[in-house]
Amino acid sequence: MAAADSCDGISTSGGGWEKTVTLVSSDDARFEVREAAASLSQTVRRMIRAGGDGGIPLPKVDARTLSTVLEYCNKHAAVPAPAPESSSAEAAAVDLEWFDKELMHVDLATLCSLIRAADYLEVAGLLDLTCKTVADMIKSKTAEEIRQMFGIQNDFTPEEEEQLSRENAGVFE
Amino acid sequence: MENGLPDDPLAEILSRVPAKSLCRFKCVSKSWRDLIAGRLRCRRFPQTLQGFIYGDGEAHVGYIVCNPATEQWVAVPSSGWSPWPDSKAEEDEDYFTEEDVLTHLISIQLSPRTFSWSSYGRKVTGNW
Repeated sequence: MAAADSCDGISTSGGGWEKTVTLVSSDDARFEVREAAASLSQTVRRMIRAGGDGGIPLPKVDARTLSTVLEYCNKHAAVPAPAPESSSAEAAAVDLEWFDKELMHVDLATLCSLIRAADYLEVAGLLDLTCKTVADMIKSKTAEEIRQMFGIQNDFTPEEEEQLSRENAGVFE
Repeated sequence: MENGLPDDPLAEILSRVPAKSLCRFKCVSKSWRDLIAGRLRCRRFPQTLQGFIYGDGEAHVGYIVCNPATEQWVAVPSSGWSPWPDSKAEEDEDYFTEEDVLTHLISIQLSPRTFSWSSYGRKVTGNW
């Protein structure tokens, strides 16, 4: 996936040379990425500015998750900026939308890892995309289904629970 | 916890679900309830008027809570607390919204000027 795509690339498809940075995941996998793509992460952008050798350590993100995050960043940073009204702009938007949709075809555990990573790395677009996806997944669920999905303990006493459902019934019925 | 999320991203998710789902999700756990009742409250819930609190300016006389839809009212028992220590207040009408009814009817005496309030307990809700 992104690891293989981005590892060897300082020469770009246009034949030019582009600056790259190396990101290091929590499990010590190294990803060489175009700086323009890596800079979609505000966290990485700050670390690039701060300088340093030997790659940028990202101790909160494992290789599998980072690979998906970088897949997103590579795609979104690669989109050229043609005139907004042109047909190629429209095609690029459709392509990006399709790409985002495909990227979100993963299970909840993966989505949660991506959300934690996007939050830590401050990749606003990816955070928005993943949060929207999870919001759509959960909006019709019951409280018990939510607990099961996220591994949450019900810490209410039966009295508190009864009180809460009374309040809900009062407002929405 | 594989699917556990910190509060900030969780709030991001919850800010994208409809108000009705949010209300249901308050029953998930105390931390979800606090998150929904706290920082998501003003942003997400329709701020429709559900009633208002009337004080006649004499802080020690107390408050009346009215429900404009049913025209029911109830006098709020005094907490002994006054938002105006010198009792030199002008006539004042405070208001509260649907979510306040859900979460804050326990705390009736409030002032938009000082953002302070005092609690009476949930017994008041039963009189509506």
